Parts: sequence; C-alpha cells; structure tokens
Amino acid sequence: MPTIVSVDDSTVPGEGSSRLLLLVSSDNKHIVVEEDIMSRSRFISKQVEGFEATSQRHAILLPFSSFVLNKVIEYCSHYRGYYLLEDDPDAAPPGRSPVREWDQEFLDVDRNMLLRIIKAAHYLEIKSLVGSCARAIADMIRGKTTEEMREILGVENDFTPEEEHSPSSKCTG
Amino acid sequence: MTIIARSAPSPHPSWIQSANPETFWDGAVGSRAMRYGGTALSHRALAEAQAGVKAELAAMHRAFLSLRTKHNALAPISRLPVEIMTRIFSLVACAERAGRLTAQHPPRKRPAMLGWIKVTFVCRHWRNIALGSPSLWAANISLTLRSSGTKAMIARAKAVPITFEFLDRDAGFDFNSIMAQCITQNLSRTKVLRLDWIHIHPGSILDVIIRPAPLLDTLDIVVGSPRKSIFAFPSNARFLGDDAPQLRHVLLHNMINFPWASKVLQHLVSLRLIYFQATKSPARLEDVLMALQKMKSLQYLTLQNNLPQPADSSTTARVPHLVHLDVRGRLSSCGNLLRHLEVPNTASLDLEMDCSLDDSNDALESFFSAFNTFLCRDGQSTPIPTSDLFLQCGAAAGVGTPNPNFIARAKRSPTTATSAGAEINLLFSHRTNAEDGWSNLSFMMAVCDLLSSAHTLTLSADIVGDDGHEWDVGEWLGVGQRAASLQILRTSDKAARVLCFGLSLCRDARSAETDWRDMVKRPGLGASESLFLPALECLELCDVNFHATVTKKGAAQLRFHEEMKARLMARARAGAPLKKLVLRECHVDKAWVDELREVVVIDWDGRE
Repeated sequence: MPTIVSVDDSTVPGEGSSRLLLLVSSDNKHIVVEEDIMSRSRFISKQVEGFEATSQRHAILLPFSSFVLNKVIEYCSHYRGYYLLEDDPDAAPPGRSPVREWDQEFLDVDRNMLLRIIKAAHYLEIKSLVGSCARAIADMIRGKTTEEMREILGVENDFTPEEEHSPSSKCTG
Repeated sequence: MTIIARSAPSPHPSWIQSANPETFWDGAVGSRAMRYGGTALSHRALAEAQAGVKAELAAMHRAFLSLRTKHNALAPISRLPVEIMTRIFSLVACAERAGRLTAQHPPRKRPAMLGWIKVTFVCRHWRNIALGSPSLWAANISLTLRSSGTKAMIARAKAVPITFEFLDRDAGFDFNSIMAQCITQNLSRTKVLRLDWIHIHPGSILDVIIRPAPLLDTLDIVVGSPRKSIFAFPSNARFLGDDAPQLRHVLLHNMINFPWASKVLQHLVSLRLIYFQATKSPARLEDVLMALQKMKSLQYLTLQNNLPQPADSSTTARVPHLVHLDVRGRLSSCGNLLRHLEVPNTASLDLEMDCSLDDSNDALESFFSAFNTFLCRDGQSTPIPTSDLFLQCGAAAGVGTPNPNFIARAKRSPTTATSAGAEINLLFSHRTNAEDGWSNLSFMMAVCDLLSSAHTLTLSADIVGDDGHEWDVGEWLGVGQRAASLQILRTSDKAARVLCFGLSLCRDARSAETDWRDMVKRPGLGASESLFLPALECLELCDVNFHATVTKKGAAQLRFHEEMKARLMARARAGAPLKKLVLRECHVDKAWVDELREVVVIDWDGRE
C-alpha cells in the first residue's frame, strides 16, 4: 500500500471543472495530474474512491521515480477516453494481440526502463500497459537461444550440470 | 610434479560444502599456501590430494553458481512479479506458435512449436516460474514429442484444461494410435482439440469423438488429403458421448453422416463442415434445418460441398444471431438452402456456386429466385442494408457461351434486391472450365447489376490473368457503366494496364473501338457524372509490372508508371482525385513510386 499524506486545498484544486490528483514519486517529485487521465489505473481509482468515502483529498505516494511516473502518465494521457480491451477483464481475449503502433514507439526504451515501466504499471494495475510491456519483452527474447536471452536480459546461467540436463525438475537451494 | 603436503588436508572440511562464497574463500584460499609442502606423496596420499582438489573445484563451482544465482536475483528482470513473468513466457509461446503457422520456411526448417521451452533453460528462477505455471503447459500439449514428453507436459498442466494441437501435417508426422490414445485418456479434461494432418486413421479419430468431453470448447479436425480422408460417423454412436456441454466451435473436414441430431450441437457458436467433394449420402435438408433451428447462438456457419439434399420442404430455420454464412456447392443445393434459411440482415454471405453446363435455365432461374428471396426475406423487397456480399461465382462462368435467356432472367432477380444502396463487396473469380474470360465477365456483368451498388470490387488474379486473357477496354467499360458507387477496386496485372488509361476518362463511351486517349469530358456534365468510376477512392494493384510498355507516344514508349501518373493528374484536375494507391508485389522502382507520390498517397510493400 502506498503512503498517503494529507494535502491542503491550495495544493490540489478541489471539486471544480477539473479534478486533479497529486502524485508523489519516490524521488519526492510532486506531479499534479487530472484524475480522468489516471482513471485507467485501477489502483488510483480505488484510492480516489477512498478519498470520496472520507471526503478528504490526499496525495498519493508512489514507489517509483518521477521519470517512470511521467512515462506512465504519458501513456495514460495518450489513451485518455479510449476503451482498451485489455483493461476490461471480462472482455480481454486470451492469447496474443498485436502491439499497437504507438505503444511500440512509446516502449522503445532501454531494457531497464522497460522493466521499470512494467513494474510501475503492475503496481498501478494498468493492464493494457502491463500487456504492452510484456509483449515488448516477449518480442525481445522470442526465437533467441538461451545464451542470447541471458545476454539480453542480464542473467547468468546458474544451473548445476545435473539441473541443466534434467529440465523437468524444479531447482531448489 | 612433486606435491609436498605439510599437513594432510581434511577430506571434507566444512567450507567445501558451503555455498557461501565468503566461507569458501576464507577456508580455501586463505590457507592454500600452507596446504602442500616438499615431501613426496605416497600413492594413497596423492589420490587423497586429488580428491581434495576435486572437492575444492566442486565447492568452488557451487559457490560460483551461488554467486550467479545471487546476481540473477538482483537482475531487474528477476524483480518482476511471477505472474508477469508467466505472461511473458506465455506470449513467447503464442508468438512462436503464430510464427510457425505463418512462417515461409520449408516445413522442416520452421521454428519449433515448443521453442518457448528454452526459457526453462535460461536460469533456475525462470525454470521454477515456468514449471510452477500449469497454464503454460496446458496451452499447447504437443503430440509429436515422445510419449514421455507428452505425458510430462500433461503432468505439468496439473488440473488446468488442456489444449491438444497436432498441426504438423506438413512436417512429416503421422497421426498414430498412440497419439489418439493419449487424447482419449485425457479427453475429459481437454478444452481444445485441434488435429490437422495428412494421413488419417478414421478408426482412431472415431474412437476419440464418441467419448464424453465435458470441458471441450473447440473441436477441429482438418485433413490434408482430399480423397482418402473421408470418414463416416457411425450411425449408432453418440457424438462426444452426448456429453460436451461446453462445445462452442466445430470444424470438420470430410466427415460424412454428421450427427445433426446430436444435442451437443445446440450451444454452438461456429459450425464449419467442409467436404472436398460431394458424397453420395448428403444429409437430409429437414434434419439440417431442424438442427440449425436449435442452435440459438450460432454466429458462423460454413457448409462447403455435400450440401443437404434438396427437398420440397416448407420448413424454415431461423438463425437469429448469424454473423457470417459461407455456402459452397451445386447451384441448386445453394439455392435450396438459402430458400430455407432466415438470417439477420447484417449477416455477410460468402457464396460460391458450382454451375455446370448440365444446369438448366430453370435451375439457374430457380437459384436466383431463391437468392432474391434470401436477400429480401421479408417480402418487402427491402435489401440487406449494409451486408458485405462476396459473390464468388466459381464455375458458373463455365457456362461458356453467354445464354441470352439466362442472362435476361438472371438480371431481373438481384437487381431488385440491391437497388437501395446496399454496400456490397464483390469478388469475381473462376477456377474451372471457363474457356473464354470475356464471356465469363459478360456473364458476371449480366448477373451482377449488383455492381450498381457495389462498394468494393475485387477481381482475383485467376479471372484477369491466369488464363492468358488480358482485359480490354470493353470489359472495363462494362464495369464502369455499372459501378458508379464503387470506392475500392482491387485488381492485378492483366486487367490493370488498360485500366490505367480509363482512370481519367468518361464512363459513358460505349464502344470498345473508341480511342480512350482521345476521349474528353463531355461538356455540360460534372466530373462525378462523367468520369469513369467517379467514386473511386482507392486502387489496389497486385503483381503489376510497371516496367511494361503500355503504349507508344510517337517514337517514345510510355511505361506504366508514366501513364498512371498522367492519368491520376488528369483525374485530380477533373475534381475526382484518387486518394490512395496500394501496391502489392508489383515490379516497380522506388524512384517511380516517389514520382507517383506527388499525385497520390501510396501504400507500397517495398518490393521492387
């Protein structure tokens, strides 16, 4: 759960023509964003519902940097008002759907940034962004050899010779 | 080499067993210089020393692996939640499967269907995630592994409903009794069963599809060999044991005696029965209609060849949620089926008729009467408003010499059905014995006053190219005179060259002898009224050779792209610019494409 701190009305404009949210990143950057933009995040939506129940507005502290948060906001802004099938748990089809062109460009970032975005999206419960990031990662490794996969994602072969030759056994220890 | 031992090493000091690198280095390296001295070792001592070194190596390796595991634990990818990693693996599996199915590789060199399993060889963490995710294994149980491999996959799927797919018909695998047995044993937990192969063992398959399949959602049995693969469902057997309440999708090739009366069909969403040829025992129309009437959720219906036997039945089957109807067969059978089906006016129709010279004019007229009834089923002459209608007339063109009586009759029926502006997509094609492409087209044109409200016209390559026939001006005029609302035109090489002349010309020139290049817009008529295909917005050309010379202008030879550019410019000047030109597999230079881009937006696949 994120830490929630109370904020005064001068920080976050209240009920008016546009409702704003104050998001605070792990590097203590304060980012004001329209609630409507972030409604794609189920996590944020639940927080907002909580605010309405208590009639108090809060800033929402998030455990990732402003750089990552801004990327997520950019994504949500781009799809503001759009219905995305993947965000609808009842309608989302199983299997693979094509990566949207805009998403491909949006996710053309280095590996670590991509992983940070997917973690943030997972935390914020933005299913469509998680899906796009997962597809981007899957595209990075599909058709590759195990050695290439390790190289791409920065992991080492840590199998014992026995484990390497008996793939059906789980690795313990 | 002489190894001197100052003190005999303990055979198994504690640090050797340790996976902790710090313990290891303190124990192993810190005392190493003290370990061996100058005294010659006995044979036994030498063996002990060797064993000690070997144990040290093993310990070092373990410590090394331990460090790697720690390194991996700190890698950003390892910080992702397990469900995301599972999803990534699942996407890799999906993508590799899709890649295999669409790959252009020769069968033997296609990517492995189970290539995704490589992820379990990357590191221990990934393996543990994969082995702990039953849905990954359940999604595609391979039957082409050795049976132990298949069993292992099924075991890893745990209680998750499984998918059996056997799609390697072109990779040299034969479906065999062991595979059938494996499916049979697990049919009660199978969700999808998809078999696609060359050689069929009907007995094996029948043994599978008469058993209960309470979780089965999809049953696809596709055969590759047209003649030898016909198999009959036994009349005394129960389809899927009458126990398949989840069954929604059925695709069967060449299975005669299809059990239309089976109650497991009632919840179907999609039913596709395809035969490579008509058989001697088609179903009774009454049985088919009764079954269809019960399929309240049916959205996709395909019946290809071996259509139900014509009968004098007044029964009508209402299929209220049908989205697409695909019917192929003899002209009389198609008409007979259409006459007894009642489908929503939003349903699209893919109709391919085999019409032979034996079909009498009465049969033809009867078909068009049924067709018209189908389109105007409420009797109010209200056409299907927005349905896409793909009329693939097949060997109907094989009538060969146009029969004036037939054409006259045929023209009457569809016209009323489509005169109110239905958006229609027409696909013209012939496959069989049409000897004369021109008469083929004449037939089409006669039948298809449908063109008058056509939105899209696709002239497949076989109608405009394969028989060596090259379209002439007269044929395009035939299209142009009717297709005033045509917006998208797809065509290929043999028809395209003449077409480019017409793009900027009047459509009401009736003589094929007219020199198109000398034609001018008639005074007093607006561009939209006088231009050839005035509503045309998108032209898709496939396999057109832009290097070809299309005409001579004095001594100079004009090439296709030059002529096309000139015509498109003229069309733009006349107020009806083409908005998009799509080029697929055309022989064209990039420079020429760039030239054409000056006058029209081009979607080019980049092939030169």
